[in-house]
Amino acid sequence: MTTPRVERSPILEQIAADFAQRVESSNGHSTPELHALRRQAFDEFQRLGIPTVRHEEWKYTNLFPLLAKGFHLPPHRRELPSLDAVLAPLRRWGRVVSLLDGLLLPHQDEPDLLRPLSEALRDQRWFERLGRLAPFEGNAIVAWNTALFADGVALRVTNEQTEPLVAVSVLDGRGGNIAVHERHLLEVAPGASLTLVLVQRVLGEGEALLNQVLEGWIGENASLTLVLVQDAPQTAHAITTHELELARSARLELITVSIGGGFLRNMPAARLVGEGADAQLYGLTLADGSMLVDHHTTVEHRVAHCTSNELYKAILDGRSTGVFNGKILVQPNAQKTSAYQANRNIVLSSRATINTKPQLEIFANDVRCTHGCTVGRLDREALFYLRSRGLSKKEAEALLLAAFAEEITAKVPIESLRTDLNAHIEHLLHTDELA
Amino acid sequence: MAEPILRIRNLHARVGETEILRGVNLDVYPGQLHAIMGPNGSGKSTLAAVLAGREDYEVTEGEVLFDGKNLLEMDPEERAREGLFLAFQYPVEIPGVSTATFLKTALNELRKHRGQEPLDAMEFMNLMRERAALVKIDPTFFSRSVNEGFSGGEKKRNEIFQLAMLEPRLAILDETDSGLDIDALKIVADGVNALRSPARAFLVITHYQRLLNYIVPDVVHVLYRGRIIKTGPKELALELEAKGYEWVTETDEVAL
Repeated sequence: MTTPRVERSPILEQIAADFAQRVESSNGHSTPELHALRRQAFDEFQRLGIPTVRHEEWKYTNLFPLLAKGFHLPPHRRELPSLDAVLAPLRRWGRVVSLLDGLLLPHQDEPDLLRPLSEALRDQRWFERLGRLAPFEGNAIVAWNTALFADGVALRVTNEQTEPLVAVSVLDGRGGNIAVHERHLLEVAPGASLTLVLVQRVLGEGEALLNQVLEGWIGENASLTLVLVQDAPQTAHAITTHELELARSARLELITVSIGGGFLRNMPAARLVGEGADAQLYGLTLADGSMLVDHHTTVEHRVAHCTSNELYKAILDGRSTGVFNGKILVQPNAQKTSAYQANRNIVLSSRATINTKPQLEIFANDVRCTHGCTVGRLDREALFYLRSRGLSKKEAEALLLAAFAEEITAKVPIESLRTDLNAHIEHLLHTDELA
Repeated sequence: MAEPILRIRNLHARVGETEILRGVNLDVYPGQLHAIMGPNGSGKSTLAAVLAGREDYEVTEGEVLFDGKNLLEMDPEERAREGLFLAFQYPVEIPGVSTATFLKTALNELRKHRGQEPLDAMEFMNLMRERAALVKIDPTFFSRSVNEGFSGGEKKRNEIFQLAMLEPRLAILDETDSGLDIDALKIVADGVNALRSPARAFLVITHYQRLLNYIVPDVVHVLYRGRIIKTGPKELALELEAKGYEWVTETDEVAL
């Protein structure tokens, strides 16, 4: 048995106070089972502590400067702020549902499709799923989330959803720095399909940290397109854990576009557990200033005849930091696996850094598994070619960088979102210290 | 006689420690087409690169006037805006940038420099269709990434298409004939001939005389070891073809 580590730090004390607050506020609103689970998760969190850079998975991503900013749980809310201005531009992308500090706001949708997680958890079938794909044991971030999550959604799709669903996490930073823990369960039933956009917005001047954990099941022949849009100002921080399990012939497309925010750590995992499943993971980082963007991906092939492909690209300027850690796990039974991974980086500034690590763990012998990684500057020949036609150096650079980035945004299946992202990228390339 | 479009005086240039151009003198007048021939390694492509502003070369001596302005002081994009165009020997592939976007950006940059309004989408598309026809380029190319996956011949035709779009004052063709079969060579030559005009000059760099059967030069120069060692009328090219470069280089050695 491990002795709980006794550490006194303002960060841990704040989290302990957060836990006491969570226990108190959920008294009478939640089941004894959930209470017990939160307690166990909190014990595990205390045992594990906040991961330091000595932890292999956190070697390049130091949580402490972020947490030292001092985050507390959002205070109890008396009245709702108006979110019209925040939500209106997002309605172009699809049907919008919004969460304010982790709580699902009243919406028009049929409750069969989408309801607050806290409500769904009263149903044993949902409760049993909680933590099944994202167990808190050994995972401090998930333990922290499980102990403290405010709420989230339970989403069950049983048919083909033609209109994309846009879930907006609004964090109210008007009263200071806040940490919001969101928990979501998602089921795409056999044969069903869904395009889900996740996006974060921050109100006010305070800094806001979102710790989001999503567990998703993609059923037989079902398909999920998940677009993670990280385009908020630098006061928005996020740690995301998206655990997705793919049944037979299920399809996943995950597109992460990280072009705004302060500290972003994304940990998507695709677990292929049914034959013929296919996972495509795409990521774009566009960072400057002191932004940190860390993509820690896991693709696990558990059974034979599955395919996966990953392409992550980054443009780094200023003092920004990029991290890519791509783990591909091919289990002994996963023969005839085909898995590809590529990571391409352009570093524009001598003060920007990229840390990239492919991590292939292959326990089957009949597989095709390749990876490639490049770190470089812009192609000088291409720059000269464009300049020799009259484009200024800055314009030529912006054009080449936009083309580099658009290979990823082109994967976004929603035209209005794609257009907005490309416009945002072009704006950043023309106005910021980028290029 | 009119002022020359291009005046090169005693141009010396080197890459690293190696001096490649060792005193080039050349005047090109409006309406003229000059051919620069010479054996491999004589400095032909270096001359083109130095004129276009490639940074790998250091000019150590001499001057170049382009319509009376000091060319060597200009950035590559300023040279382009002033009306200089280089058709690359090895056109660069630019994934993700469509030919249309690229040319629209470039053309509007040039128009801005000339004090003209940018073309609207319709005018631009019409111009592209018209000029593409000159070198038999299919309009499906417009939406394809610049040079990406193009054959050698398509890349060279695309260079001449860009030339036609950007309407330069001086066009430098760097070994545009290399790697072309005879049909592609004729298409390129027809395009160039259609673009010849009294206000425009061409500098055609080639190793072989073959291209000059289709694009007839006013003046032929032989560049050898970084200097122009012989200048003559178009017949000089035929003579070089018949007698080989040794014919001039040997007499030149004696003269030097």
